[in-house]
Amino acid sequence: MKKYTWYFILLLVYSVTLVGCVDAEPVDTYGSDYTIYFANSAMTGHVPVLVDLGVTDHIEQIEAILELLKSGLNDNNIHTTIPDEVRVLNVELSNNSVTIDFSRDYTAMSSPIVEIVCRSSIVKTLTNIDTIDKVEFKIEGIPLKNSEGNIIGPMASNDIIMDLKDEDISVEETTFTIYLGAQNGSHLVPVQRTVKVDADLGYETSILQLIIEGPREDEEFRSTVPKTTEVKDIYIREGICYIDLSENFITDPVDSSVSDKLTIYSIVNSLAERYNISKVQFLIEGEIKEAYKGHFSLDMAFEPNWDIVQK
Amino acid sequence: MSLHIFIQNGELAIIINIRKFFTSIRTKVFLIFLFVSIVPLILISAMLISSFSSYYQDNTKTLLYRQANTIGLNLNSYFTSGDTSYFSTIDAIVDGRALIVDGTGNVVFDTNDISEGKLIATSEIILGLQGETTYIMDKADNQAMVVVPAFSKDKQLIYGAVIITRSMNDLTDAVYQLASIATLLVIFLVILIIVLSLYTSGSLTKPFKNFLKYTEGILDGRIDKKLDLQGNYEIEEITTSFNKMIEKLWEIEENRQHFVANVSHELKTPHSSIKVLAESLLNQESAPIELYREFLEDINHEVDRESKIINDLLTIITLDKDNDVLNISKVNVNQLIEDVLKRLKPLASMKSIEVVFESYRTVIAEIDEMKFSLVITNLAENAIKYNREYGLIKVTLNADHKQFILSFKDTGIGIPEDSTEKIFERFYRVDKTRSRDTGGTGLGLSIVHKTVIMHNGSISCESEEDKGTTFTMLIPLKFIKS
Repeated sequence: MKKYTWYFILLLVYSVTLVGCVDAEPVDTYGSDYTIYFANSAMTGHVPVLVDLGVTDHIEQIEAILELLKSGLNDNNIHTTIPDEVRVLNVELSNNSVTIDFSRDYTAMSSPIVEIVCRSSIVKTLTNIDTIDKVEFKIEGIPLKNSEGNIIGPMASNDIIMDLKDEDISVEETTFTIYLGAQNGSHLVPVQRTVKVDADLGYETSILQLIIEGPREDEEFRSTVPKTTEVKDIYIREGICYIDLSENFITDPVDSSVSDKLTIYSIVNSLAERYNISKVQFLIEGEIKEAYKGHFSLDMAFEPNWDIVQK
Repeated sequence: MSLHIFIQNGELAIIINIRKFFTSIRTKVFLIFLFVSIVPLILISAMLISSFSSYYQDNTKTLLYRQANTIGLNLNSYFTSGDTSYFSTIDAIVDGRALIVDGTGNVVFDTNDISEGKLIATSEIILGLQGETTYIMDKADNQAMVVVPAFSKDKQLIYGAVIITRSMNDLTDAVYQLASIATLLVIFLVILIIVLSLYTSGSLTKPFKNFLKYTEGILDGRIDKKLDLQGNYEIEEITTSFNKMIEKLWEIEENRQHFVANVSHELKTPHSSIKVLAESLLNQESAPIELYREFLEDINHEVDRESKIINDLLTIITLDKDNDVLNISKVNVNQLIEDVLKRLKPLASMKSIEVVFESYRTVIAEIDEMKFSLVITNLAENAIKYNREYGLIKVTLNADHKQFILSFKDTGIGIPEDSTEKIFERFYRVDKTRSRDTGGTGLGLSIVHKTVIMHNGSISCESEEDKGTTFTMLIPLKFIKS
């Protein structure tokens, strides 16, 4: 017994230590430390650094940040992001939006890459602050334009992508209209869904996933496609949306009161809601199938059928 | 107290059983089988799956590069004149997501329609805009990403960059399926291997169990059956060898029985003769003194015979007991031989046998005089006994600086080829009926053999039936106590 008691005590001590050691401290802006995105010494990426600004006034904080991004820290691993010749003429803060006015030297930066590093570091650092949502750049009073000649305007954090991985959490919510089976099984009904679209998946895949997910718990609609259906690929060409589905779409069971017609058109109609889609071409495991359950031929693209939608 | 002991004994019993289990050949064979088959099986399956996964990943990487570069090559018209007609074909080329950024990091096209107009400031893009190609496999999100610069036609300018991202879920799913099948297969094979190993290890050790049963039977006294084990070659070898040993034992036992019978008979015969002679004397009312004398001579003769038999028996028993008590002294071997031959001359002339002694030199050796004299006597007597009338005995003595060589050659009835090895065995008679005619106990040659061995020498016999026999001895000149 003595032996076991020892083991038990050791285990307890070990687990307590482990819990205490877990570093769950996120980079936060609630404390006096702020995360400033400097560049790495080779200017090929960003390095986040925690800095104690020491000031509490918001405008002073912004100015201090800009100053640091220009002068840097005494550290060989870090490079400044705002070139020396660029001067900050003015900083304005209204509601949650900051407007920074730069000297003309801003447009004369030595290379576009310098500008990329500069702008991204400023916007990401400032929007990281709790009270700031957007940052606008002006060049001696004139709004900054992009390479296509369009005014960039106020930039939010998700307008700057520093890591493709966290892009998916920066997309706004979108509302889709999808078509599910009606209770009576002979019509389609439009259903609104508001979701955050995963940037890597895209709109069309999101729509398909919503259709596959089907009706929610309290809804009286019917699911129109097998739940095991997988979307292997979706692409749009000249207004035709090609969707490549897994074999399950044909072989697995569908709600028995839903007809094949409803299955096909729930997908076609939902996708046709998109501005850039007018027809839908089905592929099964990459192939064009002759028949879908004996009633439909899948070798031609489908146009939406609005007649079967419940009025 | 008794309960305490019982528990202790119980523990002891368990300990013995565990030890028995772990040192058993069966267990070892079983475990070796298991280990040698299962470990490589698992290793190979793991390696194959890992191999497949790498191969597919590399393939995907190449595909992504190809797609990205294809797009990059076609962007000249966009970057020089703003022609976006190519963009609509990109979605169909790529089976993931493609983004095109210009030289300022601005996203000019996104197949997913989401990030156009945004600024990409990742290190991969910064490097891409400077001409570097990057491939990243993000394990956390299971995504592959390729960034490729878009060059101008003359390769002098970098217009922008092409990014392609692709989910690797189809790969991980395929690998997972493969791994599931492999696991099932491995489990099935492991079970099969365990069963086979159990069976094989059992069948290998089964003969040992039978062997044990057999030897236990022998210990119990059941020595009349031979061992019969089949199975593998080694077991059959052991069986053959063991059976030879058993046969030897039987032979020894048989010979002993014959000897006992022989000795009893031999001892009985003179006894009977003496009894007959004595009784016939007693039965006669008035026998002449000459008759008494004659009969008493016969009785004396019989007693002598009996003494000889008993002496031989005693000799061999003594030789067995006093294993290394030799009375070593420097002896003139030539003289010894001459003495014996002289003594036996009358015996030889009875059969008109010529005895020749050839000596190449005078040999002085460290030997036990008495015992060696017995040896010479025995061999000479045999040479006379088993010889023909008018036969020849040739005794040869020679020596080198290490040993002397003494041989007895006769022209007698000879010894069959299959017996020449056995004649030195105790109680062995070539022909069981012979001893009664020629006298003797079957012990003579075994006494000779034992004595020669005790002197660290060797003796051999060559013979041809009806032609003659030659006994050759090699004895070291210097006696070394072994």
